[in-house]
Amino acid sequence: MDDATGCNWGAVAPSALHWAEWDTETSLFNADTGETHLLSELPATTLRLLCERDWTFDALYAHLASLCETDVTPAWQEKIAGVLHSLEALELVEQRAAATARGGDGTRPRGGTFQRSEEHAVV
Amino acid sequence: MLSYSTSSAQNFLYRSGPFVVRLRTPIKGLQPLLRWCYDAAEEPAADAYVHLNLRVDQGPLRRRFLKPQAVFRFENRTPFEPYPQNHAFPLLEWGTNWCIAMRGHRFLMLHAGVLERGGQALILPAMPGSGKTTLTAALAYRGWRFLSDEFALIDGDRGHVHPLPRAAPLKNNAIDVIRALAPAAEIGPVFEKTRKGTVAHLRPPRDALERQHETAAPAWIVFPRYIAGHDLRIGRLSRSMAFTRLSQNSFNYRILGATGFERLATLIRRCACFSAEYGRLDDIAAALEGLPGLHAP
Repeated sequence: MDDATGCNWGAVAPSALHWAEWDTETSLFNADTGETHLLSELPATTLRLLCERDWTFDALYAHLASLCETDVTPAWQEKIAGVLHSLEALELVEQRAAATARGGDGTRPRGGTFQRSEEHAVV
Repeated sequence: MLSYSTSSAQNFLYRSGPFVVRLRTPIKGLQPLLRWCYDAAEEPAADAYVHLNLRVDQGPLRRRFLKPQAVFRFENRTPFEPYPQNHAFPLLEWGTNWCIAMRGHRFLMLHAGVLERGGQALILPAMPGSGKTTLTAALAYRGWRFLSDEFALIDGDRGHVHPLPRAAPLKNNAIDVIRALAPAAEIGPVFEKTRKGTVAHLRPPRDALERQHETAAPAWIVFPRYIAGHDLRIGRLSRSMAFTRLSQNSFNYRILGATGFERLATLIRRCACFSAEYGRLDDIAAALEGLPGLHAP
């Protein structure tokens, strides 16, 4: 496990994001950076959650596991940490001080349920 | 087309789709070609707002007699190196396209051929060299209305495509291909050794010029790719992939920012998207007759 686990996560600028959802992927435009991204399901769902509010890492991976109907395992935690770092590299999410996080309560994302659990990656 | 002479030049005012062009040129060889190409288009009013103020001038005095040159000017800028004067028409056409790409930002502009049938638009986005102009020209003589061989202009009101019926530059082998395929096609003089090889322009069909105010609702996007000798292969393209490819194919997607993103997303949602590789124009023209909804009552 790496440093993704010891902090809280949030979206950089939710109001700057424009979404276009396709069958299994999402095109995303960030008006702050002018960049367009193509996200597969897991990163898109993760970002949707982080646009609603900040999450602790533990609450986030547990909630995503529930949405994906998969077990929480070290490999799953590793995968979610990887997704977060990829989104961070794209300047879409950021790590925040623990005091600002409001914790995870299992709220479902606005984008609806997420049912697949194959390998996903930020494209 | 309106035209009048001044002491040193001929002036032309003509409509090119949603744009009004004013051209001033003293080059005698350019004038008849311009009339041949655009005379059927509706005349703009003499006081119409002019979107593109162009000049094609002679080169410097020292080059007037030995290898004379043509110089393209746009609002007192000279964006290109001079061309040989007998290539003034290709220079004007390419220069005009460049100006539209620089200035037409009320539209989302895609690099694409566009045709229309039954009020619905077929958009053929492609990279240079993929056979886009040849395919567009061929389809213009197979029951489709020619809207453009270069630009899909998508408006922000209804998401419609606006016609931009301009001379289509056929290059190298494509000149004879279109002559054989469409004997009715009007093809202008052959310009040898231009910077893009041998070029001859297809005059926009008369109905394309006469109906250049009639927009069309986008219905199909087909990414064509000509590969010599290749059997036809056409298949559905995911909307996510179509979006990504079009965002990279647009002249001004990045300039328009969020507006460009939303307009492109709307375009993709309303279209059936395909990718096609072909080696024979007959094959792909026949396959396009099977586009979903094309023959719906």
